[in-house]
Amino acid sequence: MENPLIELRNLKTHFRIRRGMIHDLIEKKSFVHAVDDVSFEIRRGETFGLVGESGCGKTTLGRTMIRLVEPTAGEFFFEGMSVFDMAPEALRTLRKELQIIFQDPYASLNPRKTVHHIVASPLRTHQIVDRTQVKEKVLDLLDKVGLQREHVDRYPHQFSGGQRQRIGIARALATSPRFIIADEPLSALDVSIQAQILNLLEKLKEEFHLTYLFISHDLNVVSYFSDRVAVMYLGQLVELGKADIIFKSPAHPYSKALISAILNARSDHSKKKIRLLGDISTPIDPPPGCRFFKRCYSKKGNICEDSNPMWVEIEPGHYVACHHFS
Amino acid sequence: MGDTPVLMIDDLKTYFFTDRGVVKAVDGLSLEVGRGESLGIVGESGSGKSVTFLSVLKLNQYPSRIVSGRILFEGKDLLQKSEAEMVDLRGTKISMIFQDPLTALNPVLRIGDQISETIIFHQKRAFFRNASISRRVSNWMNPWAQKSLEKRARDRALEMLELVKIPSAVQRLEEYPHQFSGGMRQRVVIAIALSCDPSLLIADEPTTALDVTIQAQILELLAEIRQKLKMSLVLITHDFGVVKEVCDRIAVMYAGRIIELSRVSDLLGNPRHPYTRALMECIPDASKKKVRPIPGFVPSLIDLPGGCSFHPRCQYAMERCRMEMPSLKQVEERTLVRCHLYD
Repeated sequence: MENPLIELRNLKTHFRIRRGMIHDLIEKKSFVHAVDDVSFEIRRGETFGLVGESGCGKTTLGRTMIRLVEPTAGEFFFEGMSVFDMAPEALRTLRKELQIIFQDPYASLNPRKTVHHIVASPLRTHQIVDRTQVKEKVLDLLDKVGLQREHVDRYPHQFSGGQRQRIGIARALATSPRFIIADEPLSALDVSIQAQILNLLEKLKEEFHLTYLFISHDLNVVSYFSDRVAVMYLGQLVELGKADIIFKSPAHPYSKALISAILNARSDHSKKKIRLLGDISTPIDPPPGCRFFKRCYSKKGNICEDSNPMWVEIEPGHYVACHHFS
Repeated sequence: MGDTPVLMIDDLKTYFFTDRGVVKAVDGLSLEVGRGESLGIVGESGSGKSVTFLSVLKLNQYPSRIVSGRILFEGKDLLQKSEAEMVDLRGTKISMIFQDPLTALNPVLRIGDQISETIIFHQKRAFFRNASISRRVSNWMNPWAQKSLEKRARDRALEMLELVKIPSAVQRLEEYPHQFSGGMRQRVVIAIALSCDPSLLIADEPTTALDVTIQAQILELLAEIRQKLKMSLVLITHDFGVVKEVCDRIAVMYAGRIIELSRVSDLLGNPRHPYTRALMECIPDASKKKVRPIPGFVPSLIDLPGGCSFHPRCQYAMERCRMEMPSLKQVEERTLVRCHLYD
């Protein structure tokens, strides 16, 4: 089998938090375990979905991969090269291959710059084309994302949310990347616009042979768009596998509850729903044991409170972290 | 049946008078909500769904204004009522909850006080509206009147927290909003909304800002409360799945008007209006291989197309659609569609 494009090993991203002058002097340091020992692979040409609810760490994971946030521990290999060990110059070159589309089409574009400037910026930074060809390349990118050439000298506020998201996509495509992290690219958009952007992402994937990490809390979109899916809870992966398997027969109690909570026009209302009681526990200095222990409705026993379950392959390509399977 | 509907809106028009022109946010909307019924209102941004219900509560702010129509609540036209009469209705007989529970709650007041506040406010108003002179005097002379009112309000607040299933309610009454999670805050907002026993609750995208598992909890809570209190519910959302879960009937809005109205199962099983069909087709889910976006864009409400507002984007558009706005017609029992295909 071909080598994976992306390989993440034991990634940890912890943020130090301060609790007060006296507390910090006397007590042990406190950390938010945003990403806590995550490992997975993404194959070339795949759309890898990452799902989880607010605070599970999926956005932090995406940002750590491209080093917008520095990792605390772990390794990240892109085409076999170790990204976290790279020197600044080499990282800069690598950034052409790894791009990101952000969630908020209003905050991710500089309101004081024209579309031309925004899309040309990566072209200039990485010297993709020489100065005389920049304008043409920008117009070409606008065509590719379905924006009108005549709008090239307009400012972000003159566009709708969906159009701004297209600008963000054009910017990400400028460097001809191989891998794009799409961090909740549809959440801020209206339903009918979501479909347009989704189709655009699909089209671009084919045309440019892209690989996506698609991060979202919208399970309907992820189940539609992804090849494989990983479910995240409080900084850790609880399940990973092919999208249709995860959505039809999830194994982990959290995945089951999450998937049974999905609502859409087609959902079967006679099917029994799993209701999770209570709220998500804190990611600050989490206690040992399974992270899902407090809300789990199918605890195995004391082992769930004492030790963190192992990542086990229960069927080829289908992994779960749960004491029912270790 | 002959039961007076809780809410009847008749040809409502609410316009925004801006520098750029008149935005016809709601342009001839009529609907009914029966006692104990749950009506879902589905539409995208700019469809007019929120403005409609802000108009019902007469909460329109400059530059918007209700231009014409009638809004009958329990048979009485709200547009004829004074602001003082509306204040007596809001939060008592008609309550509304919004999308973001964090901005709905005062961060510096305890939860218990925020629930009690509504109760005390309305109790006092009711008292001074109705009480005879002798009662007022004896109330004024009673040094414990305020304390006793506060105690009763607090007991009621506790009752409400228990109704919305917040555990350890007694302690939680003393806590502040930041000590609650998003889902819990929305429950508190619901508790405040229900504290004076409304006959109609309007919920504007109550679960959009919440996670899927929390959404499920809140929708289940709303369904239960509705049953228990025999309360009517209007649920505004862009999500068909949410409507399917909680509502009896559904109205789909586009460019300021209702374009389809029928029972939930009928509409979801057999959507009639081309917009409803197109909308359902463009929503992704696990069973679909392709999503088909609706061509074109939502029209500007200042400059609506002539004839049917949807015709520029409609694959079935005929010459008549360009010229004439269709009216909302009954095509089957309890199914109304605004489309020339069904004339």
